[in-house]
Amino acid sequence: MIDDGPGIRILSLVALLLGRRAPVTLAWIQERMEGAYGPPEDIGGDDRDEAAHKAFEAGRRKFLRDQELLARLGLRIIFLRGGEDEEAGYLLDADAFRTPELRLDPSEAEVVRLAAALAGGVEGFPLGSDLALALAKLSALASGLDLSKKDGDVAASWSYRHRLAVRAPHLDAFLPMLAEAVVERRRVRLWYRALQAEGETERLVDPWGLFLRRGVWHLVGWCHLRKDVRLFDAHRIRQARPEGGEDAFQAAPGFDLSAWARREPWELAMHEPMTVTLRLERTVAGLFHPGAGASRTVATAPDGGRTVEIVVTNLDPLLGLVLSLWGRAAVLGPPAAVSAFDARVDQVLAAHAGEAAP
Amino acid sequence: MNPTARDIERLQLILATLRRAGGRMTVDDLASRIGLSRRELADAVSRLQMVHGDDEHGYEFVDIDIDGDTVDLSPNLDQGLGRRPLPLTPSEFAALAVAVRAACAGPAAPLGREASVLLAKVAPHVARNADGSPSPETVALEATPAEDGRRADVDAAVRAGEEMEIEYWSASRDEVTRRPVAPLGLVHRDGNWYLDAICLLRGDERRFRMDRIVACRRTGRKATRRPPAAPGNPSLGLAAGPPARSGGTAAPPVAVVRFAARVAPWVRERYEPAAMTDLPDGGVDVRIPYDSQVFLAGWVLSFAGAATVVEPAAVRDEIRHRLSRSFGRPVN
Repeated sequence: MIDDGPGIRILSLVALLLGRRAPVTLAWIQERMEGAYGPPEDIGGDDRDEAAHKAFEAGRRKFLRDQELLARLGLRIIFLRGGEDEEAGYLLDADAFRTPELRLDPSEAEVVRLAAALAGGVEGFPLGSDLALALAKLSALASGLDLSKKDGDVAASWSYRHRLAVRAPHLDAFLPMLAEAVVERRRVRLWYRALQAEGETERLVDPWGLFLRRGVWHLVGWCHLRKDVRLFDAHRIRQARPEGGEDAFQAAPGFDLSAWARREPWELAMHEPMTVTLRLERTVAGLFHPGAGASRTVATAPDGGRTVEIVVTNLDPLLGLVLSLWGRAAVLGPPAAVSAFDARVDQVLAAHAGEAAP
Repeated sequence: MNPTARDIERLQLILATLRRAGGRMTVDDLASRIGLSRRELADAVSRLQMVHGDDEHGYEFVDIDIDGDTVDLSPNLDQGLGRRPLPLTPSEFAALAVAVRAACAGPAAPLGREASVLLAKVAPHVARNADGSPSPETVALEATPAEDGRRADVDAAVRAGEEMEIEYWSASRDEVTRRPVAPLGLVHRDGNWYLDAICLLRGDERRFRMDRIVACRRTGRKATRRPPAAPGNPSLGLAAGPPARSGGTAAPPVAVVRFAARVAPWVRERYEPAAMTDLPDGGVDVRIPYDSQVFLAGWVLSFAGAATVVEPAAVRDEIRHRLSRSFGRPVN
């Protein structure tokens, strides 16, 4: 019996069918696979007993499961109904083995080699093994792609590392599942504890996207409990499981994951929007580049300093950033923001005056 | 991904990779390409020997073997399984797209068009979803893209291996310096981009955060130093997170920082319990190693009044004096 584990059984099935140009019956497969898919249907004929029938059914179901798994890998075993000159049966659609070689020009190959620098560099990356396999498959598929080349080029001179700021033991268990659910558009049920909340809530979520920001994995999606788009810190998800099939939803039109991934702390919805004007010395102007959230430069000084307007819905983090720049930035308006900033300066000075409280 | 499906992918990839290489590779090379250890590869090869094809056309098994440090696959005896690698799964394509986009926020920035072409070329090699479309961009890594001319100049100088003169604001000293540097490479660490370079004034390796490079002037001179063999030299001692921790052997000084109750839950997620002391009002004291007093002070200020240095007194003084000078308050 060829059943040295499902991997070998299924590869053997593929090898068996690769050699066939005409459809073959399940009985033919069962016979060639020496019992891996149970006994052929006609064993025992009309007199077969219940045990034989059960064995046949179990083998047939195993074959259907393997057929489904192979389809997910891009190898389809199709059933042909047959005709006057042809018997009904199964045929492997071998297009996957006939694809033309992937031809990459040197610049495209360089992009792959630069992207390969991320492999293994992102802690908790739920698609880490997917990336490794994707790169290995490209290496086997593309001409002129040598990912082992290390020296003398820019790919060797850059690296990407991102560690987790918050570690949670259960993250490893369900982050890959969440990533797969996002890719397959499969609903998930979450048990989530918000940062300031007492207990956790159970909710059904359409996972639109997953991103890593400042060492924290975030899930963004449609929350059926709140009937709104919500952002979840993955480490605060206590439990998660997929629910239902693939392609269960579509993200809202115009949904842009990278816009969510670039959101600054002062863009969290904590109060009504306020447009804050900052003056930045040229030394720190690079910290507020034009793409940083809803900001725009309204004036540039001859020395390279800038005046920027930033739409803020969570004022404190912006005030904190300005404080930390030691006067190289200043809050110019509106008056409420200026007052709040002055109050923070006085508060910090008072807290650091004299001896610290025990 | 189902473990069996992943197993099949790897087993098949061994055959496709070997066939691509002409049927012979070293064990180490093949193992590293597939992402297996030597032992896992040996196990996979012995299992592949059991794959059984159709015996009507002659030899019915996959003829693969390990001989010493070499893996051999007999020509045309892979039962047809290694002619091409299997298509990328939607998750693999998504992972590739994530990596390409992150690279395009860094050294691949000038290759944005090529990156799009690459993904378009790979898309037909993806196993289709039920609705027939390749997976959309649904996973992202933090990688703020290049935004302005300074960044483009730095990128170009790194690519060309060309010396440059940079003006740099050091947050750990709150001072601006100008220095010639020979670029070693771009590095992304924990959400920030850095330039690793040799400071030609001091003759040592330094790491410069990209958004603190105030100005960059390319010199046109070819840098003579080559990049180190291993990118991301740990001796550079990058901080594990704010504030900076010492990369040296001597134990760094430790500050006690008090966090107000409103930020305490966030803080508790990020520090080891042994470093924290809960306070009756819901706040928390955290013992934090540091190696730059100015950097620590700035980091504490970034909490906008929700963090206070308890000790050492020198850091409290640093905050009081700098803040007073910076914002026109009387210095006490």
